[in-house]
Amino acid sequence: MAWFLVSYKTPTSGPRAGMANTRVLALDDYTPLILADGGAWDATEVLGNKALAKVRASVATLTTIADDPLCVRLPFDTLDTPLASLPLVARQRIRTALKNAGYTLLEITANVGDLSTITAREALEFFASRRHKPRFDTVTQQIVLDGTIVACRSVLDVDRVTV
Amino acid sequence: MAAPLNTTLLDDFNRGTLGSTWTTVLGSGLKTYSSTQVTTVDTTGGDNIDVYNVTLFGPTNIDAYAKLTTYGATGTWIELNLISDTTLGSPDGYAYAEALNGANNSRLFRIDNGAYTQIGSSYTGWTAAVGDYYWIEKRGSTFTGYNSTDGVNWTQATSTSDSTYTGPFYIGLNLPYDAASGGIAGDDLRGGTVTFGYPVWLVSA
Repeated sequence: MAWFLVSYKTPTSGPRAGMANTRVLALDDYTPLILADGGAWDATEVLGNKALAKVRASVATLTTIADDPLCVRLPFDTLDTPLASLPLVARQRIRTALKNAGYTLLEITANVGDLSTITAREALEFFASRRHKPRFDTVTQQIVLDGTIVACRSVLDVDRVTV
Repeated sequence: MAAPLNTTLLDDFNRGTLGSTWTTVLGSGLKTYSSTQVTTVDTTGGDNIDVYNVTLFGPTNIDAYAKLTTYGATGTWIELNLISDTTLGSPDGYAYAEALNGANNSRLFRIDNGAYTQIGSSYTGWTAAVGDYYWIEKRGSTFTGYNSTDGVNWTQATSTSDSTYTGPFYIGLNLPYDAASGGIAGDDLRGGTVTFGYPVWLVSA
């Protein structure tokens, strides 16, 4: 079991392959491996053109996925992990990921502080507290994330599905 | 898994023109319809839904089925859409797509203003063939894609929940170009003559 922060990309195979108006999660490249393990994955889209994904698969498959720069493994496997148990540098990386996604330092501090007093669940719930509605810009032929703020799918829902 | 019993035949496309409850999308190009297939000549490079039904279904439960009876040697995918935008200029909704010609990949997408985002994992266990049936099911906020060789016994390909859009939805069909008949490969549908199946839609609201 592992959690990943995953980037979107244009599909290179399968339905809608090569379509500029389409995003798939980089994690989907590993779906055959995950299913071969008898595993599963699911995800919730968050700010910053990324998604939080939970993967149930063999250790070898999780290691393979983590080698992909578009799939960043988070430093905990279960949502009840107290982040105080992580090295300082790991907590700083999570804060940086939140900032890079689009949260301000002010709201990060106000909601999750320095992460030392909360659990992984609380950190991910904040990460999944909002996202922008995408649109396809036909002029630039790009997906643009500047739409209205919309709610994310619940992290707990993703956690339940992949138990 | 068997299909629900409370279904009705919406259209079998067995005439030379679209039925009165169906229409095409401005910007998706010219289309002709024969008694054996639906053909689209996409002159604009658009990738909106090619044809859609003007009836709203749902919102809670929707089933849309299509039977694929023909596709070109380089046909790329068949896609069933549930869409909320009557103008279809920037549609919102959901789609279930199955790759053709050995690509073996089924995916669910959320559609936001014409941007398609995969939701849930894909399924690679199905090899599409002429005569297959495809089904997108909406049960509340859970979307599921199924494939079948006979329209009776169904294989669940992928399923996930997403409550961004609740419906009701129009039903649409998107079958992109067949490069063998003049399309341009890559990320552009421009200029392709789409030769695709003979869809059969059955819907329960």
